[in-house]
Amino acid sequence: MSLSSREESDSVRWQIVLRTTLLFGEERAIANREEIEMVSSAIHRLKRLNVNALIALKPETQP
Amino acid sequence: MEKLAERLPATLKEIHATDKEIEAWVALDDDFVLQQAALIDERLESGEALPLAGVTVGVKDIIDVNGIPTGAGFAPFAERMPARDAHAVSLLRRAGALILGKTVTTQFAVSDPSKTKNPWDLERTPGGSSAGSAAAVSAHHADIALGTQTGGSVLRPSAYCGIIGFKPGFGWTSTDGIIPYATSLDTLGIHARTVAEAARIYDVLARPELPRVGDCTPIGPPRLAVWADGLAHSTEMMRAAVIDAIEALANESAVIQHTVAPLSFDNLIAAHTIISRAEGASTHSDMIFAHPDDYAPGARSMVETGMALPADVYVRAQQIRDHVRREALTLWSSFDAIAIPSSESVAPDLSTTGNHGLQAIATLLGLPSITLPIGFNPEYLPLGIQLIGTHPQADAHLLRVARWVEDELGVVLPRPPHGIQKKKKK
Repeated sequence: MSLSSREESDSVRWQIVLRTTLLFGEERAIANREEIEMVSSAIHRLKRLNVNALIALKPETQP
Repeated sequence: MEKLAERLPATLKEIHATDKEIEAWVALDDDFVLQQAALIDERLESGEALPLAGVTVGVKDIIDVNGIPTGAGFAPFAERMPARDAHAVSLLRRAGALILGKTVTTQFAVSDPSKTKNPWDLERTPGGSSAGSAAAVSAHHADIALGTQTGGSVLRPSAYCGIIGFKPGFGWTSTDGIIPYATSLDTLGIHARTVAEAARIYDVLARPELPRVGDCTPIGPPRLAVWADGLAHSTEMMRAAVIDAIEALANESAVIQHTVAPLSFDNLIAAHTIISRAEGASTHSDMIFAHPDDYAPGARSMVETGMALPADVYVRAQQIRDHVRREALTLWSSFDAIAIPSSESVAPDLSTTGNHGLQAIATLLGLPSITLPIGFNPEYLPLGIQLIGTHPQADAHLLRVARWVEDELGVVLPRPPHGIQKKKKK
């Protein structure tokens, strides 16, 4: 079963929240909310790119 | 000819007077400066050839200068006295440059605002992280300054302060003696008021195998590529100013074409975000536990979140970066430089150091980049155009292209008295 983009995004965010909480405690995970959002969004973007296909990378956008 | 040791007391007095408001310096000791001046005078009298004789230098406070602590904006480092000069500082001294002192950095060269104000408007940021370096050169405290760039920390403050900011290609000189953050991104950079001055410093600092700029003869008219996705990430006013500048260059016979990047702007920034967080976390993984409360909020957040990143994500970001870098070399090989705005907007208020997105693309790809002032907005705040070189070792070529652009646009901003006057009126 594959995750939808939204489900994958949520999953990525919760993984980062969980890891931050384990390392630094719940308080820091809350304090880092904005940063966690930024990093989770970046991870989600990179996961959506097919790295193997990048060997034949072509410009994504046209002017 | 007047000796340095005779000229400098008046210069120092003026710096101290204006720096009460700008706060560009974290360490500026008159005795330290005058002792160096006397030594340089002696070397000149003995007939020594000094290519940078008497050039005054500000050094960002993450770069070691023998005799001054390297504080990095971090309280536990307040007494961190280096054993020797950073490699770049030692090369400058050998060439006869005079180190004035240490300039304010945001903590560990990250994003939390520093105390430094923009000389053009004291209620605005000079940018970051090389805040004091850009402000000191803009205010004519120093002829040049050293900064570092991991995202946009040389170009953005230079653009906000209306000066030249040059970040050569990755690995152009040793980073020995510089406190790291993200080791595959960190690059020493130069703040100056003219392209020729930046080139003069480059020639002293660059690794021996890299081509020199020499007299910085302009190369032109150049072939410039405008990257629409980059333009789109700036304010309407900034975009219009940069397009005007590009049209002016086209009128002087520059060949202007449009280009795309191998990957979208947002995906490139995503890769930069992951790489900088992961490598920053690696650098700080011990100290964050030893001194958590001494970290500024932004720096602490970045390290903590970086430590929570899965390793496969970092590897993926590096793979994407490598592919893009290779593709960009081919895609952009027929151009002398890529043109985009230097920053998203003019300098914002003091609550932020601004957005690093437009400067981070060249850092991610290891390409040289330079910002040049192109004028002011209606509030008399500097605007800048960024030129990105199309090969990691095209530093000298980019400087010559920038020299042509500088000559044709004819914009070298004057000393900024306006910020200080504006505040005094209130």
